Amino acid sequence: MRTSTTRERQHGVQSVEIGLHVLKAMARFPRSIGLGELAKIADMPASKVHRYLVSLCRVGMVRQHPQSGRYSLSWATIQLGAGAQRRVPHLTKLAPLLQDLHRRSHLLVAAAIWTSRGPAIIRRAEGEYPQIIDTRVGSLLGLTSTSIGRLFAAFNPSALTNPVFDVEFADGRRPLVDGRKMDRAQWNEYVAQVRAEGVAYQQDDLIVGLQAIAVPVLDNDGRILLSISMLSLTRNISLAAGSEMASMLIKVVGDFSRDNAAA
Amino acid sequence: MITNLDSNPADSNGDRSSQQGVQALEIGLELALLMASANDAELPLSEIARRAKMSTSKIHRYMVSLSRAGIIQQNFTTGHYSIAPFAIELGLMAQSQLDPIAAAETVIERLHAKIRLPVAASIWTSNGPVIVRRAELQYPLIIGTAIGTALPVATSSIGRIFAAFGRSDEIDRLLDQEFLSKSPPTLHGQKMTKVAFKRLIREVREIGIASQQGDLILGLQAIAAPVFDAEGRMVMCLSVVALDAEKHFGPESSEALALREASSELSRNLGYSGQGE
Repeated sequence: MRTSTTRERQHGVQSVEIGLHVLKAMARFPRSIGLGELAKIADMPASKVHRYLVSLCRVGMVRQHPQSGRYSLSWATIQLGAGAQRRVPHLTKLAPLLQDLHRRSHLLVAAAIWTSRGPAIIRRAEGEYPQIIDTRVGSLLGLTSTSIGRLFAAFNPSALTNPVFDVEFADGRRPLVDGRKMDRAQWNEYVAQVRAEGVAYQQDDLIVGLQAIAVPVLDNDGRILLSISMLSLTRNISLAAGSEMASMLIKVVGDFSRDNAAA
Repeated sequence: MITNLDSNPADSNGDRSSQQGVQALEIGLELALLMASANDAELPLSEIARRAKMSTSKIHRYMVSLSRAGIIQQNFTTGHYSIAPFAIELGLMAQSQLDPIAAAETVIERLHAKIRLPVAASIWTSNGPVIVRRAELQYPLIIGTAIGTALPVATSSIGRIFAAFGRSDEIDRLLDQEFLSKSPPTLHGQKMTKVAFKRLIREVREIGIASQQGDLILGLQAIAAPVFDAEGRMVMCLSVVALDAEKHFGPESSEALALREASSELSRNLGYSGQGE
């Protein structure tokens, strides 16, 4: 009797877990994926993956593109994430914070969180027009090439950031900081510095002419919950250490941390 | 949305037949979405069962597998369940895979096929609203501006929708220019005051549709509706145009209804859950 109950539980469990395994595999791709490719990644026969995709499409978590036949994550998955965000206090209060920072700076302001694949933009307030540069919600950021990435590298435990670092530099390339290529030791030193200062900067390393600053929202234990950053394409507005914008960002985000970060 | 399969004995075979395997997944996902849309921070098993109209033992099995997949978490103190933070990451990836303009294209093609009138999708730019996609193949005459031209805020139905639901700081700047120009905006053929415009916009906000008749081009009428994104911000506008002579479409017309449905559908496809900023 116990065997049949266990089997029932296993069967009921199985298709949900398999379906979500397929969904999670799709989440690793920036755009769409074809059935064959997905079957290979998910390590399942294509016919089986297709059955699961049909269900995922029915519920709205996946959609199939009419022309290409490829699949992407869809609106119900967005809503799932939105529902989860509503339960996190510092996320629900993000919109007014970003609007406030945008009003004060007229710059592109973005908030990012840590995900299993590295830092990702969770929300943004657009910059002044003409909008030459923009970020996309959900896009992953380079760990070493962006101020946001550098901030997370500085504040996250290395157990979290090392795997991402290794993936990014699997081909033996080296991080570029302030125009200097760094080895692992130099990078660790740089990151410790960022940690000590509590702010990360980036200038010209990603695109020449782009400067950025990232400041953390910390919880009561000093753990990083969010990175709040501003981006500027113009030399007229400096985001460098000691600048008016930098001081403003540090103060406003510091206040937000104190008022809102969960214990 | 959640079908009550508690009484269906075949279900206990689980993944054996393709029908059942698929169904169990759909049920599990619907449960996850139910939890995501719930207003409660967390829910006890009994309440989930009540809302899903399923037995607690069945719900428990689903919670076990949803937890294993990282979508649901259980509070160790209360034993209650809630959506897990990992779902945030999935939602973000879904947002990054979204192509709003392509999504708009699909919706306007369908709307156009349904009402047989030109349909357009517009976005906001620093110069005002700009049409980015049109569906008008079955209509012999091309009406309205070419793709890329900015429309006036005060006299186009599209502009009025952005004025009602979009970001106010940029819109005010353009409105000032329009009211100060050599040919200031009209409403129903009469010169429009700013006060009248603000009143009009308040109405548009209430109704959810903006219409325009003869204020942009004499003999042309249009209706427009807003499209919202996952963050509750207005990101696009859908609009329909027609010549005066053919029909009159007010906010209650069948075209207006079809437009409302299309813009709601597009909003939903962009992740809008009805919760504004």
